[in-house]
Amino acid sequence: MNSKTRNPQTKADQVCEKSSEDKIVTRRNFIKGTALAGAGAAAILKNESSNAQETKSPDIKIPEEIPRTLSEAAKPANFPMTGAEVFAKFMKDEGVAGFFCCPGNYNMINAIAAEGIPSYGGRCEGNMTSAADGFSRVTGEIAATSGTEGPGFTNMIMNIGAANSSRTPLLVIASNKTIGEDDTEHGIQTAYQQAQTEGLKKWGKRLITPNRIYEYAAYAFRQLKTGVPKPVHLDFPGEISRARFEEPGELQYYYDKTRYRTESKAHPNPADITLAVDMIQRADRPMIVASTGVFYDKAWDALLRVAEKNDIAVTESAPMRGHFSDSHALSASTGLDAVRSADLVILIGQYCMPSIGEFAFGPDAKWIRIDPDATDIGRNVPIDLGIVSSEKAALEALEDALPSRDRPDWRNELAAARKAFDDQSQEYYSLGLKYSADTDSIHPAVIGKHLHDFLYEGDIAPDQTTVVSGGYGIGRYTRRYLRAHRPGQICNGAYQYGAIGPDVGYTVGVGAAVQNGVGPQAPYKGAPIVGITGDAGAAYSIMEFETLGKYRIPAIMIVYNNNAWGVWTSGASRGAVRAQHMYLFQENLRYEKIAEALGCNGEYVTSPDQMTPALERAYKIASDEGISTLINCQGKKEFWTNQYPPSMPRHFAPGALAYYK
Amino acid sequence: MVTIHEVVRSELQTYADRGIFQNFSSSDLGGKFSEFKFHWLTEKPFLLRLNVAKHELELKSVLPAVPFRSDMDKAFRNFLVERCSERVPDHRKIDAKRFSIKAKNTNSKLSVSIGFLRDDAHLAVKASVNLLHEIFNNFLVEGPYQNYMVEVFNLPEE
Repeated sequence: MNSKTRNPQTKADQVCEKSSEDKIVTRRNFIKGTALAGAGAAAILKNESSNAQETKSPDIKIPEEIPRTLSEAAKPANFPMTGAEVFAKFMKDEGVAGFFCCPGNYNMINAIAAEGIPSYGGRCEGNMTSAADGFSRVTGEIAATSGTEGPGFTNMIMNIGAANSSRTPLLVIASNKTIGEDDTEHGIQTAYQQAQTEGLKKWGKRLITPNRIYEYAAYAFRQLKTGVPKPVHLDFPGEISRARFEEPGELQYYYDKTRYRTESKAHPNPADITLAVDMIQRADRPMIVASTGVFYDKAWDALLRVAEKNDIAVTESAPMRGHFSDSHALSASTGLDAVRSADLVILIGQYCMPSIGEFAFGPDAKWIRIDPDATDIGRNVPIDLGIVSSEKAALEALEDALPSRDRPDWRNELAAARKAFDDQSQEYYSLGLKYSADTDSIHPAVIGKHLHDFLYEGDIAPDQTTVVSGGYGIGRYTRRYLRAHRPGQICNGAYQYGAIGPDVGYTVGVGAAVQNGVGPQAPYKGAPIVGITGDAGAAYSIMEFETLGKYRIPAIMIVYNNNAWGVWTSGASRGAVRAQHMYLFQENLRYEKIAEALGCNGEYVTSPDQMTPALERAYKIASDEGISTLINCQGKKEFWTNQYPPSMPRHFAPGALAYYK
Repeated sequence: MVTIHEVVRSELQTYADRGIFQNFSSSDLGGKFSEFKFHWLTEKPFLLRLNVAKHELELKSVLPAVPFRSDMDKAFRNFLVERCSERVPDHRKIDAKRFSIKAKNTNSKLSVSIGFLRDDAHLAVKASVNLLHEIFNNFLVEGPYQNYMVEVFNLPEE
């Protein structure tokens, strides 16, 4: 891991010195990350700015039970097992790499933790669902989430919806009272679950027959591991999770995963590949849109070989970015103008389909669509050729069939388009500096540019930092400055569903993925991550700073604070009367103090010159001590008006700015 | 001999056949003018008017609610000039030797006319359709027109 070592003494250092004098366990002594479990005593946090009255208050501390129980060895279940243990063992065997929950569904979550699946408990079921979603989006692995029956489960709905739109292989499990009490409203928290996830999942089932639990686990993982992924929702009545099985013979369909599902994937028809090669050869400016399926099929190496063999441009559009590096000479992800020039579009794994006009390709471009699901090919965008295939198999077939070819004119146009984009970003930055100076605040273009320079132009390796790119208005600027150099480097928060509230939840999951070095995050294990959101979005999930602090997940969360919902201009124009108050917040709210109150670090930035030093301090405390920081960047809502052009930049897809599709 | 109306209609029909346009219709207004309507890019239909005698296609009221001589009006005219410049890649450039491009603003409605030679009717259609695409996926995207799109074209706020 490559990290900066600037800023000789941070706020945290000062705090720790105080703590040392008090002979208490400091944050510095508290072992971060997976090693957190080694700490044997309570860790205590103090706030530098605590006044006399506050110093008499009990300190924020991590109770000794947390590191102690995290350090306990896994205890995989063996017969005799409960239903919960059977299912947890199944999850472990299927390689579920992360589990995010709030208490409830007790038999299940305890069994999952005991199996040794990395497990995290947070403050709201919805945010933990998004943590699991974010975890999958940057690892490609299945993650699971759990909530208690009734209120816990219904808290998860918005976040399941976001995962569904992103085609995330998310396993949703929730307890659900007992079969014996169905329809009675006996006790509390009764809810009929499956109907509530209708339209938000790939498959779901209320389990009602105890000895079919293994069989239905197989149903669930067949859905999660084949075709186009989406959430799978299982609800567990008490009779199922508490059921006891003395031996394997008591379970239906109890056999190894090599027998209940297949790893085989659809391969393309050779005739279709011949047609595709012919179309590519006749094109002057072919462009691949590498989307969700390329990432989940781990097809990035094949994609690179195909692009380079025939000089095919590649742009991305997905809930995650980086499966084709922005820095490659054939990348069009930041070469937006080249998108308008493509004469052949090859959609690969584009599960969330644009409609005509949503992608900026011209009206004369031809379209090839490669997708594992034949039933979706031809939806929205009329095709010139459809190929049913796994993404990786199709790319490997194209690699074999395509001749080598150089397209120097096309490469030159791509380079010119990227330069034009960079020039425009620089222009926005210059405007942002002026606007910041004029208003005694920080413009979002300045935040984006300083973050870019910090992450990619300084001492940190450009491919190191994984970023949750969220927010609404702020995202319209920061996406422009973020870069993806390797698979899973950017989690595209608001992808398709447009939910801004989960951003801190995503940060928990993405942070956990990097903390544990899962999948493509392995080389960056333990590195700090960055999250971006707005003040509106932060409010939904800011309590998860407590989760970041509790697990010492090192994150830097940038909150763009413009005192308003991003759509506030809707309440100020178009003849609106008595409406604007609904769009505005109290001004100059101090979100960073919430992070401090939750055991993390806070920074308040009100001018451009403060941005990079705040990032440096945040990075150092994250690297050294695993402490997360919320950087509250004070902007102005008026930046979204035409008084400050380009005001709210419009959405553009596909590419680096895309989040609709 | 195939009439200009028929050439234009046929060329536009290919976009409809390929699924680019929805609800394509054409009407011959007495031999001097023809009108072609289609849905594409926005929820409002586009109107392309053919002046048979003048060999001219007009994107009628393509951008409404743009006051004459406003910043947006000026930017749009500059954009049209730019479409013919050397800075635009050849495959997207409007050939100024072949086509004459003019903008006019009537009652705050911007229209664009594309004049062409008799034998270039089919190319003029392609140029018009591609210009329409550039207006909506370039000019209106690159400029500060988010609020305009919401207010005039009912683009979702988000």
